[in-house]
Amino acid sequence: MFWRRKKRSTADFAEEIRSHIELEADELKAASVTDADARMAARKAFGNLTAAHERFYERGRTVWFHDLLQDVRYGLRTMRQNSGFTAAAVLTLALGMGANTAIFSLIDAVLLRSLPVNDPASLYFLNNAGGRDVGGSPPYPCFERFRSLAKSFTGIAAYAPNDFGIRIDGPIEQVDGARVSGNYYDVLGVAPFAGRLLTDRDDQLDPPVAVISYGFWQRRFGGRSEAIGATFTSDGTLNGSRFTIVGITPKDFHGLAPGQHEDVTMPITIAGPQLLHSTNSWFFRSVARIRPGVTAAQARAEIDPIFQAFMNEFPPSKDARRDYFNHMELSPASHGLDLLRKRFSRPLWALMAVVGLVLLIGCANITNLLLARAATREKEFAVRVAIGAGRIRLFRQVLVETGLLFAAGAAAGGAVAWWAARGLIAFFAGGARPILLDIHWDWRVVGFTAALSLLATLVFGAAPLVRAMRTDPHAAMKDGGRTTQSRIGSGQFLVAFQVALSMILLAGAALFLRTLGNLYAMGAGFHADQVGLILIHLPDNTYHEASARIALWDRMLPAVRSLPGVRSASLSRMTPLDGNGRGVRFEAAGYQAQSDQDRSINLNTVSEGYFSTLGTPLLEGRDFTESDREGTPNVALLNESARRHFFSGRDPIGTVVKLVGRPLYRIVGVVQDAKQADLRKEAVPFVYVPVRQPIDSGAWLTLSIRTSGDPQPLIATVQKRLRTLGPDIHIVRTDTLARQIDESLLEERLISTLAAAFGALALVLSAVGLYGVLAYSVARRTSEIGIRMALGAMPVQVTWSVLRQTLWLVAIGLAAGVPASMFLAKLVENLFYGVTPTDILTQAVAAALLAAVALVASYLPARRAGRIDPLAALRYE
Amino acid sequence: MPTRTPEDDRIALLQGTLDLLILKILVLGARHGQGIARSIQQLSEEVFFVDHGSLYLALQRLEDKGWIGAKWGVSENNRKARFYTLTVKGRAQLLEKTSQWRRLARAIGLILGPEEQEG
Repeated sequence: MFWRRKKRSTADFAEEIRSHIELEADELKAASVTDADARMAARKAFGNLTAAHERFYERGRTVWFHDLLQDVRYGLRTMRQNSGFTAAAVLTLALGMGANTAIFSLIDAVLLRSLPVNDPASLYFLNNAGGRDVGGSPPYPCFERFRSLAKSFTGIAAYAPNDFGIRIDGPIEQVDGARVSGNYYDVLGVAPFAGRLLTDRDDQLDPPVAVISYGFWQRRFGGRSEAIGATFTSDGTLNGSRFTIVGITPKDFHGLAPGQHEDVTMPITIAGPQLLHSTNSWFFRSVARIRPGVTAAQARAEIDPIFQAFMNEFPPSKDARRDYFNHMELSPASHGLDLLRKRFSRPLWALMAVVGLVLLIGCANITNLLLARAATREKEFAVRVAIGAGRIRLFRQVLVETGLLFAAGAAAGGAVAWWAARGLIAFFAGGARPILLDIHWDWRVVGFTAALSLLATLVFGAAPLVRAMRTDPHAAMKDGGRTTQSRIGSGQFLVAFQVALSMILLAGAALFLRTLGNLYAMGAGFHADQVGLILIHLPDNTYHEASARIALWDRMLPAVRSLPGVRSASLSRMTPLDGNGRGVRFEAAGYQAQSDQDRSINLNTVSEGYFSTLGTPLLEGRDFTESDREGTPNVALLNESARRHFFSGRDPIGTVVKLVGRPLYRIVGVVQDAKQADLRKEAVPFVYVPVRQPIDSGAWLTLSIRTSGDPQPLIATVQKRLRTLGPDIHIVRTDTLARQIDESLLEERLISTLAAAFGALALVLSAVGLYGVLAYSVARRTSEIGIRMALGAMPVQVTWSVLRQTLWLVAIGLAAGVPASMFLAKLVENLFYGVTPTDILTQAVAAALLAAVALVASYLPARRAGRIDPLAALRYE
Repeated sequence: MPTRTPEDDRIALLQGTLDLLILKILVLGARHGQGIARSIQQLSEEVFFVDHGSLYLALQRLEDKGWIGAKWGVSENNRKARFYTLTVKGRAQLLEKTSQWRRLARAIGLILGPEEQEG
């Protein structure tokens, strides 16, 4: 039947039944029975009237669904009636679920999400690798051999992330971007949002073209269509020829480096013939799409001989061959480059564990609340069982009520997560070189929250469910709803469990906080506060000659130093923890190197006053001066580590050393070690050369300014002054040294901030849980306590008995929590600095804090127990 | 529990046979529920016991299937009652069910053998 017959009403059915009874009675009356008897007999003949009505009612209905709706309505009503309970439970869940969802969405963005390209799983990076490290792609000529010889791939593309100084109109702008081979977008399977993307023909650079990202198009061109066809020059590239923008990439495609948005992409051939023909330059990545049906191992077996032949033809040093260029490896490229993942995977999983524990603690509270409520509702259930409610039906009702609670918690948690995720994004994007995360709220994140909520319902709603199932009407009615000791037992177990979990979180938070404190407090070899940093680039087109650059630096330093508020100023190629590094070969008479690694030294190019500006003491000899320039003998400084490593304690002053096999430099002084790459690592050997006797081009230098106050406002003044010193001075970015260090400690700050916040939350939740359980147990034991007091127990004894209960719970919790926290901390030991997981002081402080909070939380119920009036308590009974 | 007296030697209807009996009764003309119940009992020489609750449910089921139609009317002794009639579809069903039933009864009879041997 394809139309729906209107359902017959129950009233109509009842009418029919009534008429049946009357007809039946009529017949019986005809057989000469009295009126009343006839009716009675007719009724009797019919059988169970109610059952008939019920069966009619249930006919054709999806009964379970109907019951479910009824349960939901009833559940909502109960939630409204117990608004205090509901608010507490929903708030707890919202915080717990929100934290979990936020951290999960972060993990999803940083670790789990694949690139928004076609079939990411079949993309691989082709890397050379050795005993020491896995590198990038082999040199460009080798890459070209892969392209022409390897049959395992449908395409191999070159990719090198880069930042550029480009000039569209007006001043030079700093943009992030990449240089890629023409087939890059084709290999990835990325279609243009507008215009066209690069093709193989664009490798000819005739004419030079570029592609921009959707974000850059919006930001820089306001989303106007004229962007396609716009031109720009890229500094130091192709003698200043103009590039034409030919297309825009899709909105969600940001390149292959997660955390970065590659805004401008140009052909890799702009690197120039020298680099492209070099057989010993490693400057890009190869990304390849494997042919369907070919495995990564097969593909590797095909390209490795090509690589080996190339390396035999153009051999590097023996050490380098063993350590870095031993063989080829294929690593999955589905998630892009792994820099961000390497840095954050451990901290993020550690945080996921932390928020998981917070949720457990919160859920334990809710179980306790539910149990307490189930106990008070025992009579209600008993009555319902007694009048014929099925146990399954009761079970379902409790399940629905618990489910509603958790669903409400999950929904509120979504709001918390949204807010928390924004905070996390801001946290990552905080520095001068922001990490840009795209947190998507897709089915995965929503599914995670839903699954979490369902799981929590089943696990933590189970205890009250089981109670509902066990309801025994006889016992419950007789008992008048009094509970037995065993039920408080499960609540107490949960509290001890919470104490143990809180102990883990508090100890973890304390360890992370001490790590961060240690990293900040340790002698890094410089003073970070009140130092402003300005990275300056002198464009090649304007400052092609080295003498022009040096002349500008010469003008710059006195001009900046004369500004009010500037205590000292200096220039350097690198500043501490800016992420840069430059290794060169160091040769000194009397030093025998064992390996390449052994003779390598880090090079920094600095001006006079650099060490005093940063607060690094000069240990012996002299600092550079303005007259250390072309025409005077080359001079250099060493740091302590270099002196130790290359001179084994001998005095290096006056020694002439060779750097990069090029000009000779005379050592004129030694400075204290300062950390450069990583605060956690020991300082490494450094050699410093003057900015006026550079080894490198010296077109990129950072101006460091020590100020007498907050450096931030002064930076703007300095910037204004800089621009008056010459044309086209490109200010790449500004920062403060303190912020630069913060940025380098992003993982540590993230994890210690969040661990401390979650530790505090755990502490509060446990305190609430403990309070709830004790208050409930005191309320239930009112009559018992009353009897005891009537029999002569002193209030102090009663109070103490409650506190003793707390101490027991805390002791049990700590007995489990302390070893567990040590064990877990051991697993993430390398996240700590200057503190061991088994640090007694940390554990003791955490345990003491926990015990103190527990005692405060239990004081109120304990005092209430002590103040019970025996007369009132007994009368109540 | 349906109220049924055990000393009754009436037989509860076999599952599924009630529908067939209702259709058969309605061939004789429109009837109300109580009339159908009465007819089943009388025609079966008081052997069958009809649970009235089940009867009305069965009527509703047949009505939902479109085998019978229903209309409120007035009984011979001026009571308001719901009268059921057989539809064309119901008539076809009756034929089919009847032949089915006869085949079934014959088969069971063959297995059980002649009546005398029943003791």
